[in-house]
Amino acid sequence: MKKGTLKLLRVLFEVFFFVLITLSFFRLFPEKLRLFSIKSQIVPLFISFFFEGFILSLILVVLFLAITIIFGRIYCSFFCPLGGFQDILIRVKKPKVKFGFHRPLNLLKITILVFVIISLISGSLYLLGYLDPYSLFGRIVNYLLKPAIVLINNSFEIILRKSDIYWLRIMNLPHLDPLSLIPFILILTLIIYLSLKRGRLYCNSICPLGTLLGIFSIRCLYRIEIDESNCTSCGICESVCKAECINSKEKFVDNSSCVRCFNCLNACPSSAIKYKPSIRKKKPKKKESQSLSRRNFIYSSFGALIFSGINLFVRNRKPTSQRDVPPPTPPGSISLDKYISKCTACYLCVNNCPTNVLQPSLFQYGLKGVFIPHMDFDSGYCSYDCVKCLEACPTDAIIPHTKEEKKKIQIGRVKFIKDFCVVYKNNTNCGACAEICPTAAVTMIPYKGTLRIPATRPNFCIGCGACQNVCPAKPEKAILVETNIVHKEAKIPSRERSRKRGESEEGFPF
Amino acid sequence: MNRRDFLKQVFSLTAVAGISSIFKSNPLLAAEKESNINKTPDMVAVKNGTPEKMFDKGIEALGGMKNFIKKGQTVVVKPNIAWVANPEGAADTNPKLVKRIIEHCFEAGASRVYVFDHTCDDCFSTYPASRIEKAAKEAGATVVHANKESYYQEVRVLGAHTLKNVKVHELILESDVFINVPILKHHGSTRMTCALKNLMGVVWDRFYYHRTDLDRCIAEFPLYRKPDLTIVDAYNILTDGPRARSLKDVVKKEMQLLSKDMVALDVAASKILGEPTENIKYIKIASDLGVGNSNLDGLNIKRITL
Repeated sequence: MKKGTLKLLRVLFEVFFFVLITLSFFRLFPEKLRLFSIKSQIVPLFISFFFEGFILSLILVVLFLAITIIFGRIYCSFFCPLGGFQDILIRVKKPKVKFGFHRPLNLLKITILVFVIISLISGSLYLLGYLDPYSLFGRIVNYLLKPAIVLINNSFEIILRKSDIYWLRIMNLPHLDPLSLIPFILILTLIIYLSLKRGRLYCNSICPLGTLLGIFSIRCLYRIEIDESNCTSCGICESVCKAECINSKEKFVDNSSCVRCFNCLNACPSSAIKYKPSIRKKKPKKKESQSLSRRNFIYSSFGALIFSGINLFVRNRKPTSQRDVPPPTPPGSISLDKYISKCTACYLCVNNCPTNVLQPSLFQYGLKGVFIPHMDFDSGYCSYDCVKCLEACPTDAIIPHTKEEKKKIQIGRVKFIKDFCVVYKNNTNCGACAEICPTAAVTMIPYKGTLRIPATRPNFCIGCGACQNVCPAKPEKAILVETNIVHKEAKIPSRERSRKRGESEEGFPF
Repeated sequence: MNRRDFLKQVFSLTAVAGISSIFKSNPLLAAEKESNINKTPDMVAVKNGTPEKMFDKGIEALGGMKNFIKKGQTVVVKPNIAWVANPEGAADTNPKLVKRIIEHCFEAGASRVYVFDHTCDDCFSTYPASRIEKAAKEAGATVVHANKESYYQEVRVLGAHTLKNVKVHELILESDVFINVPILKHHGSTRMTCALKNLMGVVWDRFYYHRTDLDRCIAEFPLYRKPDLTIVDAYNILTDGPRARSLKDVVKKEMQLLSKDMVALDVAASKILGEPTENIKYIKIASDLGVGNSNLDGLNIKRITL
């Protein structure tokens, strides 16, 4: 293979998936491509298989693991959007960082992985969601990239509109809750700092997926190796290695830390560094497998024990906080418990929701559900014909349903509070709730004189929140959706030509 | 000509002039004369045709679009695009009618034609679903959105009692000609949505209307600006609206009304819908405010059956 081909291939893949995944957070992006983009991400695929048993997800996870066993951590540089993000930072930094070999932080990374696995088994996705590179990247798009693009787009929109050009449309600014931003900013700062100082150290110290793939690639078939006969010990390969896994002095490459960027292949002036299958067991590997020493193991297990205790405590806390009843979960999520146990808070649904009803939560779902999106009927309502979030969800926390199925999912039930209603309070017409109701669960019935007042039929209600969203009553809304913790099926009203309206005589009735 | 002939002629001419001046006060002849001078009717009602055909005939009876648009003027066409529904659902104005109106605007010399509505459902769904976006673009109009507050500017409504200030879409302020194209529908609380109520789609805060006094706000908005022409789409009407829930509620009437007077149009429309006019409170309020004439008997209505 020609020198440089592998790196070119890696860059092409990396750019393609980075762009694809970034664009998938924008609403106009084609649905098929969005589906394709999320099927390239290991953690969401794993969750989808682990909780829902989707076979396609299993096949893809196995495929990715097989690739790792054969070729090493291809995912980390070919598919991972967070890897792409870090590579951009590394690339744009001037002066260029000179990397140097460092021993792998095995204790740290194994501990984190054990914590993640234990929390996963004890039923909390919180830690995995917080550290998963795909979900982290989703939050970077949601909190950083999207607001920037929206601001630029909207300023251009105004400039163009003033000159009578209507090419752009105003975009919605995502909700930015300062409190929910703190943990995000912490980890983002860490990622940016590490990538600028030490390359892919996040991937090799904290990222649980990186650690897992590292374990799978300890004995991978295709390896980066230094040909000792050609090597001049110039150290160039070591200085370009983002993963800091090449020891040019001892002529050894830590293949479980290597993210397969193939920079070293291009950089080596004497072509002494090679990527090729190697059947024989190499000695230096012994060094790596020391990682799980007894001391490490005890430390990890001890930490994990404490952690799982905290985890169980958090898990069993009932959602208490501002409201006693949590807000509804998106249609297709089946129940609050199922939803919380599968969502990694990547905010792909939030960014694809056309009405902004899906918003990152804080404590709306209690401690266990921190950051995962909730239905906020003050921001918007769930559009009757829309299944965007069901199609988008990469972990199947929101399980896909057809439009017709979705129209019958009851995520909550309408409740009318007459005392707050404009019609009752002011004796004027309103009817905002009834006109927006897609299922006729809210209708207007005769009241005083020609006035009409809302009446509800909760069995027909799907809990879309449109009535709550538009109710103009102040300070308290007169119509609300009460959450179904477990989703139900709404009844469909039978429709007959109701009234005799429109049956005027032949000719003009005036 | 001799002197006698001259005198005879002068005398006879004077006599004719005198007699004609006497006859001038005759109501019969006067009415005939007035209708000759001002023969454009107050309202045109058309029946039994496609939306395009009915509009062609209707606007012809009003003297053509050139009576409303001068060369080089900008025009806003404001249909009802509030709901996600296809044209058969009759929740939004008929796209074919919108298209035909825009074509007439350009024929009359309009420099630009804008189409927008402040929708109830998400406009990125309603514009395509109603097929108005496509039809308007085909006819050469500029389709504009109205889903964000930054499109709106606050204006004062002189003479209003409840709607003293209102945020109006900037194109209503900037455009020379304003054409209102409602579809006639039943409405759960106000009983009917047609000419007057369609103007809720040019303001930002509809919920101020709902919260404060819906009927009164609807009636007061035209004190700020009346459309230069309103065309009521009553081809298919929705008898249980305003949202399209079932095709069983759609009645095919094949009618169209054209006028400058929205109150008169709403009275006529209520009769087509079969809803007692007195149930629709905003009509009376608007009539009392002098927005238009609710007494159809006093109007010159031209009825055309195709």
